[in-house]
Amino acid sequence: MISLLQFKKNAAMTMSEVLVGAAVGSIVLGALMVGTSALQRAFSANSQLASSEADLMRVADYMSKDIRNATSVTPGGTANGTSGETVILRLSTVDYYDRKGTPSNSTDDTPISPVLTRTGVAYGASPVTIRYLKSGNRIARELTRTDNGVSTTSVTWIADAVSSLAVTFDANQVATISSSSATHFRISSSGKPLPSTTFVMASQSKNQTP
Amino acid sequence: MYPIQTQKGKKGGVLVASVLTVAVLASISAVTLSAVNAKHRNSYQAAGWRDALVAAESGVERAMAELTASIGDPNSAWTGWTVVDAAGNPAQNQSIDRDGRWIPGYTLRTVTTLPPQNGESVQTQCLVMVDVPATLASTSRRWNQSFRIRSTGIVPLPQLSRAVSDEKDTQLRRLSLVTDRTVGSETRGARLGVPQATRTIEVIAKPESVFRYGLAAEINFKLQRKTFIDGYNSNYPDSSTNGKYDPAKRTPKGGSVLANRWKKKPKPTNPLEKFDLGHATIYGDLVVKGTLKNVKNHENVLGSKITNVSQETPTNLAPQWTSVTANIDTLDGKIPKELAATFKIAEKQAKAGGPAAQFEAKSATAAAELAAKGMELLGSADPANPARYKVGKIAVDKKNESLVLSNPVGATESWVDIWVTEDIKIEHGGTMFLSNGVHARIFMDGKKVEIKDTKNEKGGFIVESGFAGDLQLIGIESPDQNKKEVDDEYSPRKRSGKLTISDGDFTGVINAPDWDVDFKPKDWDKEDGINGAQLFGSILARKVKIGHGADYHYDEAVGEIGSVVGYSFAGWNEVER
Repeated sequence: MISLLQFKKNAAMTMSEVLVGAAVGSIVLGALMVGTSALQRAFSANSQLASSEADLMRVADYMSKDIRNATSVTPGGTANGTSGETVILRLSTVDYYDRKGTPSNSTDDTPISPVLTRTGVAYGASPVTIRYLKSGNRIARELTRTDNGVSTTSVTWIADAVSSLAVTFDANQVATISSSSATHFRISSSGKPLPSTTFVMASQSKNQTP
Repeated sequence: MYPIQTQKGKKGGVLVASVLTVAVLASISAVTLSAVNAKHRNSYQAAGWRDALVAAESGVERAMAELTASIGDPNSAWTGWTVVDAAGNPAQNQSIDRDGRWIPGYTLRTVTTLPPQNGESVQTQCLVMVDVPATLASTSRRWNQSFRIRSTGIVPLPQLSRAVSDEKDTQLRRLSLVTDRTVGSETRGARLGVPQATRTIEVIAKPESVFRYGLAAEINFKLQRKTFIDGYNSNYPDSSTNGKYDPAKRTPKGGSVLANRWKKKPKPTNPLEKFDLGHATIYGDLVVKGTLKNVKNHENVLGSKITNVSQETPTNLAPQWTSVTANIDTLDGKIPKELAATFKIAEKQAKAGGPAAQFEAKSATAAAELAAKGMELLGSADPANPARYKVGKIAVDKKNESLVLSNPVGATESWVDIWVTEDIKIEHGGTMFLSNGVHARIFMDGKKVEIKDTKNEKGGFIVESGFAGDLQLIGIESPDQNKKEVDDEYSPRKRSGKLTISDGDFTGVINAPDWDVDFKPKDWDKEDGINGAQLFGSILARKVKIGHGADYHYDEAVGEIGSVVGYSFAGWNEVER
């Protein structure tokens, strides 16, 4: 009885069984490969989408923070000399820190006490100037401050995939920051790309009167 | 034995294959989850960072609410706040004078846990500190100190203490992941159990004075075609010359007027009376409670016409003094006989260019004479404890009478309060002279104040500093309704008294929402020249009339003295570190 069972278990399948099994297996594997590939592509696209949205949010966060602090704001849209960049926005803020004559060393910086002026509050003798520049799909925040008569400019690249960026102001000086991502989401490699992500945020200077 | 060994070998192969499969799938899942988690963490941190700003602004609003509460009820304000010294140590026994003069080096501090929003499990907090740095403290030109509010919003982040993958986000948000980086926190520098997003904003709260407008009337005002109202600021050289009005430096939109209240139901027998600008030229704004239909003849307003704006006005009650410097029945400006010799000497000194040397030329002689001949009251050098004189009446009504308010010996600045329970008359060349450095408040608790016939006689109120804020006339509201005068027309606010200034210039500010104020320049400016009555300062009154020929110049600097009616933001900055 035992040897008969062993014989049945070890018996080979017929050709038709093998062919059917191979066919079914191929279909399943093929479907899995297609599905995996689509999932991987979707995952990759979503990952890029999240990154580009993070880019847009970061730009909007930077700009809204600076606009809130601004004592004066000038919308841009002009070319930055011969360097090919476009100035998106130019604004001034107070210089909150006294760098004690050592601009490179921030550990000895102390906050400056505010002084009332006719129109608001002043902190230091020279305001900090901030410009937002666009070069290709990259966005830079350029900061210029003056210490002891010497101006220092630093540039920070804050986003890499922004196709359009604009700031508009209404009559009440409320700024609308709108930006679009340079990354396009595609369902399939041959499919038509979906419209790019657009991000809109409003901000208003707390130091300016309309 | 053989079949059993064969079965064991087959089971082992399946197990290895299963483990490998699970390992591969787990690796794929781990990589996927890690990538997703990084994005998720980034989103949470960005959201927490934004929430921290909201929390910080909540702290600012709380401090502003306490400041506002301290105006009407200073003893109950700041409940739950603690006083800390410059090192951050509690100083509970240290009392803080909330009435205008803050003790340097001390700070009011509180930490508040904000109520959670729907679906929110974290405990958002705000740390708020309020102080007055030396640069915002009160001065002789700026009686009302401003406040610095530093508020930090603290939002715990519900994930591991790990920075996001993109360094650009780290540079922007500067989260506290391992150690507490909260400025002003007692636990700054300590290791954190939970990562947190913090944002600090610094706001300057500036007091709003009753003198924020050039002219504010509770019931109505009536101006004339030849009148103009403009503004200057005696605190700044680009809007004044040596602290004095200069028409070439008038401020843009200076000298706004406020029609603060409107009678809704005049008696049927009376015509509808509107605020009447009388075609006067107003360089500033016209601000109206209600609509422009309540105002007429306003076509010469050069600033904006703003509707639906009103201002809370103070209720000026009689002073509650626990002690007085002196009780005086009558201040008549007559020189005491026993002091005559002393004043003769002073007169000689004055004529030699002494005390009056700084006074403007046209009044120098008068000032010198006054300094020598009159009755003198001394101020106190301590601004928190001014000299307090309770007076029955003031009657300086002859050419050879004067009342001089002076600094005490050795002081260049002093403060004096005079509470007059009956009427005030300064007329016919009689003079009330405020020496340079004297800051005076006169509480008008009678029913009538008359300053008249003073121009030709070089009398009236003379403020040597030229700063209108140095002379505050405060109209006391009569507590007894029966003592108030009732108009022959309906009005929501009955009259406690009337102030009349005729035939003379006037430099000073008037805070009298229950008093009527009447400027009568008479006829000596029919040609609308510059020799008409010149009024410098600010007026808050019940009804205001300004007659022909009076030019009115609002000194914006007086917006920083006088009763505080509220606070506004003068500056707003987010601190980056």
